[in-house]
Amino acid sequence: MRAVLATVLAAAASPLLAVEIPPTPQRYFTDLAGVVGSADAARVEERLAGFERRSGHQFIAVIFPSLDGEDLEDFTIRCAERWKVGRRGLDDGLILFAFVADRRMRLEVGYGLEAQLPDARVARLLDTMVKPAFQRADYAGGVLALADAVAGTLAGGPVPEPAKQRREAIRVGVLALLAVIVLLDRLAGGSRLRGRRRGPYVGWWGGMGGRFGGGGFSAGGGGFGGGGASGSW
Amino acid sequence: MKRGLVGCGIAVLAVLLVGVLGTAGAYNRLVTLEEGVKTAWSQVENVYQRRADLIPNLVETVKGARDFERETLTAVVEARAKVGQVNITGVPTAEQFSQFQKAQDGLSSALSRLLVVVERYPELRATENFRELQAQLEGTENRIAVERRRFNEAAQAFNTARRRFPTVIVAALFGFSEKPYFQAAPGSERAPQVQF
Repeated sequence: MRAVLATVLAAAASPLLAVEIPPTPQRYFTDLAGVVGSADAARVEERLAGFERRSGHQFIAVIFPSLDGEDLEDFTIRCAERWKVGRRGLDDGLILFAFVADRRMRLEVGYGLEAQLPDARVARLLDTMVKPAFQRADYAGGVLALADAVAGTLAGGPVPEPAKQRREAIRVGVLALLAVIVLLDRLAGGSRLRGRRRGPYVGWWGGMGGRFGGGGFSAGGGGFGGGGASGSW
Repeated sequence: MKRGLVGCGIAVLAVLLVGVLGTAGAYNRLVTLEEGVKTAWSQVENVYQRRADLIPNLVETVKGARDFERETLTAVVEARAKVGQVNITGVPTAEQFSQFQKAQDGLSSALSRLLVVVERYPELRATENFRELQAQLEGTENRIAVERRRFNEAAQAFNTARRRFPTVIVAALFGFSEKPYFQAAPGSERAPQVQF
């Protein structure tokens, strides 16, 4: 009964889903088309997670069954805008999209990596690394090959500079907030607490910068501007 | 009697305060949204500039091919020159905006004609240099599409807020004018078909 209901609901919702952008993936590697075995999927997941641990860059891959009549570049940039892969301010996210029925793919490159991964280079990587594997229906292999090639390309290059303005703005904002807190503290006559409070404040601010760990993927707030390249297989 | 007067005075003050606060809020919202439009516009200019910067290299590369069709090349060079003549500082007025769009659309169509003609020169197409340029050109066109859409979204957010009541009064009072939109050029959304 529940299965029937689920099917009916899915059927009713599908025309809407065609234009709706899916929510941010919870994993580094998402296979919505069901074309990759679980062992292979785990291998890709681990590789992409490791890439973030080592380099800080977020690289995720999503395999869709089909484009459903959507325009490739329009759909992928909308996903990139919603998902916000990559670090905020560094905008160093990478997203590989594949659409199995259409045999089309695209790598979206965040603003911060456009210099190191220019479109022409990405086009060549897709053509030489991903296409042959995808033609053999080896989707995991294609993603792994691209991840390794990208890691190799980025390893030698400089780490992208964070957007200075935004950082400065955040710093000023935090300082202003701290000033207000201190002021309120003084006004409230909190002299007896002051000695004890100073420690925890710093600890709290320091703690905010930390990562909330534990498996799975969590986007860092990176921006995209349409960099990258499309390909087919 | 006195009490009534005081009460009236407080009521008038309260109404005035609400009015001032409301005006300030509406004004600030419009300013924020207008900043968004400005940022989006500068991004639009960036990506179009990026395309314009590719043209000299493209022209040089194509010239190298044996007896390449002259008119097509000239059309690109002329369209590029027209783009350079449109000078805009800050967010353009409606008139400047349509000038800008006309010039850029002219360059778009000249470029797509060039790419169609290039199909007839397989040796040129096969060169590493040309393939690189083509990928760059495609990437730039994609970025242009992205930034145009973002500009339209920012302009729409501004225009919607501006037309709403009571913000519309504030907008009229402080001279916030409606922002223009990018329109798709006829036929530009489809890639040109190649005939053999």
